[in-house]
Parts: sequence; structure tokens; C-alpha cells
Amino acid sequence: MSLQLAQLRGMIKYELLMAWRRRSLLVTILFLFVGLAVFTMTMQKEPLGAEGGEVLYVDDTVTPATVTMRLYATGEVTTMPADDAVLTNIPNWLRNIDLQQANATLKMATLLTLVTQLLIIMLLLMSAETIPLDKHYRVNELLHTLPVGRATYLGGKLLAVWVGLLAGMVMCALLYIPIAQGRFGAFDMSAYLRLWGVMLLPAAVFASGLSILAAAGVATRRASVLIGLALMPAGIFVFVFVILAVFTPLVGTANAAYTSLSYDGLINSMFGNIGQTMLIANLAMLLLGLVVWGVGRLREGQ
Amino acid sequence: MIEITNLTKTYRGGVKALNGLTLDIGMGMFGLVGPNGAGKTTFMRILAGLLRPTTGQVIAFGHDMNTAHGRMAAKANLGYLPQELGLYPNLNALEFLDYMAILKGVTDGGERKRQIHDLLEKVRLTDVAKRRLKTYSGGMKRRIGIAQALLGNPRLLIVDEPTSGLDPEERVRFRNLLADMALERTIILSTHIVEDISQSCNDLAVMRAGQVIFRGAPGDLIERARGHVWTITSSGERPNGGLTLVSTLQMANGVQYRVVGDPPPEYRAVPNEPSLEDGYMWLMQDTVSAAEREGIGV
Ligand SMILES: Nc1ncnc2c1ncn2[C@@H]1O[C@H](COP(=O)(O)OP(=O)(O)OP(=O)(O)O)[C@@H](O)[C@H]1O
Ligand SMILES: [Mg+2]
Repeated sequence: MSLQLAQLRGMIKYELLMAWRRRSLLVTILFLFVGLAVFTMTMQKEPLGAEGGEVLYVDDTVTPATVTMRLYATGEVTTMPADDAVLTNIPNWLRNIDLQQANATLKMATLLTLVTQLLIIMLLLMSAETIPLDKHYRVNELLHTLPVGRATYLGGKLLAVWVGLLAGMVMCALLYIPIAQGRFGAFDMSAYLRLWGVMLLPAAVFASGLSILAAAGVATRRASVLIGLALMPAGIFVFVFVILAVFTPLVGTANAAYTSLSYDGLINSMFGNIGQTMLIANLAMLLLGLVVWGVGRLREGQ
Repeated sequence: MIEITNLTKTYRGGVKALNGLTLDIGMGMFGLVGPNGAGKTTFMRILAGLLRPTTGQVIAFGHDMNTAHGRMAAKANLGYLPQELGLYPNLNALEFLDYMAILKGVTDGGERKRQIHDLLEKVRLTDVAKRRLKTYSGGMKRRIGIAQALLGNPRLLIVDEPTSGLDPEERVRFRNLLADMALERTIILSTHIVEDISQSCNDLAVMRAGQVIFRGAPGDLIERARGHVWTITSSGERPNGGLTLVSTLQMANGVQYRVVGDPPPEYRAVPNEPSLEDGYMWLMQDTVSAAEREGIGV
């Protein structure tokens, strides 16, 4: 057991070093960052509008309910009784909270969801070569004469990719904060970080893992890229569930299930849905890992 | 001690690379020679646990290589240098050897450092140890391959044509290195350079068409050719008629041929002291003609 752990540590260290020197890790992270930046540029910050101004706060704990607005004409902030038009525009779950921040947070959620799809596509394509690369360099002949178990080998390959990817993504997440704040204004930081934790990181683990495992048996780099392409439908399939998880609560506020929820409740339910989708996707990926491991054992040395 | 019993390997597609091979290999240096396609690499890959035999058994130091557990145990005592060696281009020698040592189970960092330092000295790559492997010449890569095989002080060392691509000086150094190593372990060496074997092995097998056609000491193989090695000097055409031409030398009085076989008297052949290469040539000729006499193709 301690031997396997030492081997895993060694694989993580050197596979990471090689991924870094091949520039593949750097390219992946830069690509993610550029993706974030581009989406940020193209996304407008649309104020939650009412006639004549931006709605900042709706208080329905008082009767009659009041609305606080910044008037477009003068920039002046005023509070006045809310009329019906405002109350239909601002559903229950958006009342009694800082609307500017909520607005910015929902913008972030939309943006990160789109970036998640980009990430999945990119990782499906870029991670596939991980194992075929050993054949490409013709070191696999050597590797298979070492006392490295099949599970250790697969595990080491996966973990090395994941460790590098996750470290790079965490950096991305942190570096992106000031950019996003500059564009969208202050947002709910805990929701932002949770989105990375529950959506982007698991999506990266899923897509890279799926691609590495699915391409484990092919012999050339080119074939591995084809495998990555062939996995696109799976990636899009998972993404559709992410989209549903994110937007159903928003659109669904007309539904009975969501009408009673507060803003926090809604965000929590959204994150719960995303988390569930990611959990299922990753379990399916790990199941594939088990299959690959089993097939590898059967075919070993033929 | 490695016991190989009745090994056959039929590749997908029907090529029968090994055809009932039985051998016992003890301590020291064991040489393996044979023509291209004889099955040497196939045999060595089975010994290294890379390939499973179609039938037959290999017991390496008491471990049955037909079981997953036995292969794993055998691999822990194995150093292997493949015929077609690949290295990670983006690592330097220190990193590559460190990585391989970890995977081989040399888990103590200090011990790893010491071994790598020693081996780099032995293969004389200390000066370039920090250069990326992609910048190495073919011979340097081969030497890293050799160093890699020796990591972890394996009891069984399998080297498939290790001297191909080395300059003469390096080849001699490498032979001596292996000979030093052979004191306390089994080394199986395949080569096309018969001289490599005559200089270093006390035991050898000649393979052909997936079978062992000779097994014994180099001296025995040499003795077989005694009385069949000749020098023929001729100013006219090359000698022929069932003779194997070993060398051709242009002299002032004509061309001097060294031949293996039984030349007719009119060639006025002069008997010669046989070498291992002659022994190999005679064996090849002899087994072919024996097979022809019996009407079977080899
Ligand atoms: N992977 C393979 N699939 C099918 N046939 C193979 C494979 N590898 C080797 N062979 C065939 O098996 C036979 C033995 O090959 P092998 O490589 O073992 O010979 P060798 O003695 O090492 O030759 P060389 O001296 O050229 O290295 C050859 O006929 C070869 O074509
Ligand atoms: Mg060979």
C-alpha cells in the first residue's frame, strides 16, 4: 500500500511537470481565462429596470410596498410606494434584498454556466492524449515492465491531470474576481465561489476524466483527439442538465415549487441541482474508469 | 533462476513467433542470438511480463509469470531495456531516472539519489544529466536506457540489443559494465553482434524460427565449426557451392575469402581457426541443410 502511494505521488509530480513543460496545462488554463474574459466583454450589465430608473430594492414588509430607485435622469436615489408594474417585474424572491448585488450574482451564474460548456468541450479534446502520449513517446513498453498496477497507473494519470487542472482553475477563479467586479459591480462572493466548487471544478474533473478514460485504449494522439470529438454529445448532454439546473429555478419561479422560496432558498436549490447533476456525471465517469480498468486487466499482455 | 517450459506465442494474425521453447537460465550473463525474426524480442517481452505466452510457462525466481501476482512480483526484480526504447522528451536525465526509480519501488529519496548518481557515472552522462532527453543523441538515449534498467538493483536484467547504436568505445564500456553486473544477477542479452557475446557470456542460446537450435558455452559453438572454416585465395570468381562467405579481403595476389562450409578440393582451401561468428554461421548453414535433407522448411 505504501508502495502504491509512493508511486501515485511520483506519477503526480512528474506527470504534472511534463504537462507543464508540454504547455498543455498552461494552454488549458489560459484558454479558460480568455474564455471568461471574452464572455465578460460580451455580457451586458442590464439594470433591473422600472420606468425612469434602476430598481435597487423592493420592500414588501411594509404596506404599501416601497421601491427604491436610482433615477436615470438625475442619478438621484429615491424611495416611493411601488406600483403594480414594479411588483410584477420583481417577483417575491427578489424582494427585500440588495437587487444590484443579486442582479450581478445572477449574471455571474449565467456567465459561469456558459464557460462551463466551453471548459467541457476543451477538456474533452485536450485531455484525451494523456495515456496515448505514453505510446506516442514509446515509453509504455518500459512502463509496463515496472511493478506498477493497472489501477495505480490509471489513478496516477487521472490524479496528475486533476491536481494541475484544479490548482490552475482555483487561480483563475481568484484572478477573475476583480475583473468581474469591475464589470458587473459587487456580487455575492460566497455564491460565486460555490459556483466554482459545485459546477466548474466538478465539470472539469468529469470532462477530463471521461476523455482520459475513453481514450485509454487508443494507440495514437490523433485517434485520441477523435475520441475527444466523439465524446462531445456526452459533454453536451451533461451540459443540458447543468442549464436546466441553473435556469429552472429562475424561470420556474412561476411554478408552485419555487414561488415560496426566498432568494437564498432559490440559490441553494439551484446549487443543489447543479451538484446533483455533477455528482451523477462524475459517478458515471468513475464507472467508466472501472470498466477501463477491468478491460485493461483482461487484455493485459495479449 | 529462470525456468522456461514449452513456450509458444502465436500473434494475432497467425505469426508463430515462438514454437516450443524450453530453457533454464542461471546466474551470470546469458547471450541470445539468432537471425531477424527468430523470436528473441518476443521471448524477452514474455520474460519481462509485457506479453503473455499462448502456451507454456515461465517461472522467474519462483514466481509464475502466468499469474498476475507472479508477474507483479517478478517485475519488482526486473530491469528491462527494450529494443525500441522511448524516453520522456521533456524530462532531464535526473528527473527521468528519479521517476522510473520511484515506480520501480525505490521509495527512499536518499537511496534513489545515490543510485542515480552512481548510474549516471557508470554510463558517463553526469555532465549532461540536466539536459532534456529530447536533446540527447541516439547513443546517449541508449545509455540512459541502460541506466534506467539497472535502477533498483534488479536480480534479472533483460537487455534487447543494447549495443546497437553505440560507438565502439561505448560498446566495449557497456560490455564491461554488464560483465561487472553479472556477478550477482542474471542478465539476458540479445544481440546481432556475435562478438559482444564471445567477450562476455559464458552461456548462450541460438534461436531460429521460434526455437532454440543451440544451447551451450561459446567455446562449444566455436568447436562445432572446427574443420569447416577456410581461407580461399582466388583471382577469379567468388567461391560458391554451399559455402557461407564470412569475409572478403582484397590482396595483392587476388581476393582472400574466409568461408564456412566444406569447399571442394579444387579451391585449395587452407583450414582456419574458427571464431564464434564462424560457429554461428556454421550452425545456421548446418541446420538449414539438415532441414532440407529432411524436407522441412525452417
Ligand atoms: N506485435 C506483433 N504482431 C504480429 N507479429 C509480430 C509482432 N511482433 C513480432 N512479430 C513477428 O514475430 C516474429 C518474431 O519477431 P521478434 O521481434 O520476436 O524477432 P527478433 O528475433 O527479435 O528479431 P530482430 O532480430 O529483428 O529483433 C517475426 O516474424 C515478427 O514479424
Ligand atoms: Mg528483436
